[in-house]
Amino acid sequence: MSGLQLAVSTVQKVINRLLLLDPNSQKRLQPLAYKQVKVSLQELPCAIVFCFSQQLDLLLDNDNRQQADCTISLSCSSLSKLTDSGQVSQLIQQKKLLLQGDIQLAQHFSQLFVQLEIDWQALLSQYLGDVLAYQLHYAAKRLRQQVQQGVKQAVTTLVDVAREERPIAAHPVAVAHFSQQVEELAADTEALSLRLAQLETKG
Amino acid sequence: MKDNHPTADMGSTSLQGNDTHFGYKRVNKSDKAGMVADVFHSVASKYDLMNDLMSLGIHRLWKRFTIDSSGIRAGQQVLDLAGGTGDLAAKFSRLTGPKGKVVLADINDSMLKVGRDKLRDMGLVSNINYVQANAESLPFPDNSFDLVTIAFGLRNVTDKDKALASIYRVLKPGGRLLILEFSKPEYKVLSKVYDLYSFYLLPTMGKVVANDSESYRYLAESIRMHPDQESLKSMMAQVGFEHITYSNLTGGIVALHRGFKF
Repeated sequence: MSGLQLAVSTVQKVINRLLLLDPNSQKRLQPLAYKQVKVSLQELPCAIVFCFSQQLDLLLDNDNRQQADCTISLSCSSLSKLTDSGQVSQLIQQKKLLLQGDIQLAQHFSQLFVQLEIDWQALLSQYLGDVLAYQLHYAAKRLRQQVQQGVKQAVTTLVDVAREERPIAAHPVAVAHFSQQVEELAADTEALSLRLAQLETKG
Repeated sequence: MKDNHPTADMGSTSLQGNDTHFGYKRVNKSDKAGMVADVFHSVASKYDLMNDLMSLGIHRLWKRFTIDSSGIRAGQQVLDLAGGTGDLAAKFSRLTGPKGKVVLADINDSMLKVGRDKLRDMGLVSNINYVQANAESLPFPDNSFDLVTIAFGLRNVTDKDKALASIYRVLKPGGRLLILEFSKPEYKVLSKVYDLYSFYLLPTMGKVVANDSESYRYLAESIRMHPDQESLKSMMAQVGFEHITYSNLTGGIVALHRGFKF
């Protein structure tokens, strides 16, 4: 438990620091003032309660007693999908995201982090000067784009290898065709068993 | 150095009449409060620094655990007893918000002044009141508070049963008491290491940092004289608390007791 508390304490400090770096965050914090949002991640032993006031305080709900204005339950793998509102609706329909309490509060909570915008270049320039800050920022941006492109390329290559060169995975068209054949077979089998049942009752 | 290393056995002989313990010394009950006051007048200005040094910062995690276990909500009334330099009160002030109230109470005015200055420097002025009060006879009406906390203060109280009864009185029905206090380590090896640390290292640190080794020797002794986990639980039950639980922290060096008033 101490390890988790230390981690939560660190996360609290980091989030507070990030919110301070975004000049527009105070406006987004206003609707959350003195509210509590409980986030329950399936992978963690207890829920984390976000308490908003002059700053953010994180509490660990060790014995599941803490009442909150809104409770959000999900798994870690769903966290990245929260940035896209279309995917959020899908997650709710699939019951991978559960919301209880004030839904509007959950929206404000989500917006607080999704709309976080920090001018890293301006921040770096305070310590390194404008020129070096610009170059570092530009280099980091390019590196990020290259990594994303590289990952995308690697996934495409892997899929092609699995389908064409070493056919481990089936092509989607082949899978669809096979599924259709299975469905037809199932329908025929059901029709046959109905006919048999009719013949048995007559006999 | 001649080994005057005290053990718990030294304090186990029964007290007579108006006697009580001040660490391992036996003193008159009427004298204890003044002696404790002298200790805290002496350590007040360096209290936070010493807490960080002595516990290597772990006391912050203990206090986090206390707040995690409090169930505090906006608008609630909180009494932080023996709150001293206001570590818990600062957080409670943020969590209860403008509609709530936090009372930081301490019997020692030096500690209270340090706490007040610290909280005001943090900008926490609107919902905190400061009261110099004795835990044995709290100057608040019945059923006043949703939550009472006492962190590392109960062991300094002369009559713990009286203090617990007084706390029970001022709690609202449904309210809870949280006692964070040094306790009995769960493991023998840890216990021995802890003894060495408390009786040799702590007074030395006290001498170097606060120029006061005796106060920190009292700290180590008073911890050994404090009731263990089960004893404190029984004491809470005797005055009327229910659903009493405790959690051992850092191998039982510290325990958090929680009880409810129904």
